[in-house]
Amino acid sequence: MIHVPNVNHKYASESASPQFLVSGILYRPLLEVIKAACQSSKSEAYHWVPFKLIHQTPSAHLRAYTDIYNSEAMLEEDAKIRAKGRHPDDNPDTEIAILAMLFWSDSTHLTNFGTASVWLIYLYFGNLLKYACGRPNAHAAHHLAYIPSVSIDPDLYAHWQDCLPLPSSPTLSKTFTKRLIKLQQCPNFCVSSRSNLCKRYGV
Amino acid sequence: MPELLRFLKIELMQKIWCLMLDDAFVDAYRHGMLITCGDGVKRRIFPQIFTYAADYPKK
Repeated sequence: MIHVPNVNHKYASESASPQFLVSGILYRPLLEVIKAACQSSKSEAYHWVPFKLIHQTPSAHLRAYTDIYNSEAMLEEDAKIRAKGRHPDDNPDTEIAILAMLFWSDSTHLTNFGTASVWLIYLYFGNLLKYACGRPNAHAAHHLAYIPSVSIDPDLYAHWQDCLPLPSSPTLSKTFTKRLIKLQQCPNFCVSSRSNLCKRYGV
Repeated sequence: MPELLRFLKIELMQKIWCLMLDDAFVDAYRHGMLITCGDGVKRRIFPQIFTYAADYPKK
C-alpha cells in the first residue's frame, strides 16, 4: 500500500491520503538470508578475520588490496566491533566476526530470447573471494526481493489525475526513517550508480 | 502519468527495504547474533553494510 499525497491538499495523517495498492511483492527477511548463508557449508570459504596482504619485493613491502576482507575499511570495522567488548551472554572463546554485505539492485534479463526481465535486490558477501562471487555455479548471490512492476489502470486515470501534483522529492515514510535512524551510522555505506561509482577500498 | 509512476516506484523501493530491514535485523545489526557456522564454529556475527549499488528506479 503506497500513499499518494497531493501537495495542495492537507491530510489529517499519512494514512488519510489516497492509497495505491501494489501486489506480488516477493521477499525474504534479510536476517533469515544471512542465517541460512552462514549456516550452510558454503560459509567454510568465508574469510571471517580481516588481514593485511603484503607483496614482498627485494626492495620493498607493498600493501596489496584484493578483496573486502583485506581492505582498510574492513580492518577498521573489525577493530570497532572488537573495541565494543564481548556480549555478556557469550562464552570467552566465542569468535567475533563481521559479515560484509554488498547489496545490488537492477533490472536483469532472464533469457537470451524475448524481453522477460525481473527487477530484484540481491546480496553478495564481501567475506567471500571476489572470483568465487563471479562464478555462477558458486551460488554466491542471495536473492532478497523481486520488485513487481507498477502500472496504472487506464480506467482509474481520472482518479489519479486528482492526486497531482505530487511531492517533488520522494517522501520518507515514518517507519522507513525510524529504521534508518536505528541502524547505526556506517562510514562504509557508499551508494554507487552507473554514473557515479564510489567504493571505499583500502586507503 | 509518468510523474505518478516515478513516485510509486520510488515509494515501492522504500516499502520493500522496510520489509527486509525488520526489527530482528536491526537488533542483529546492533548487537550481533550467535550463529553456528558451516565449519562448526560458533561466532557472534555482526552484519555490516559495505556497499549498495542500484539503478535508480525512475523509469
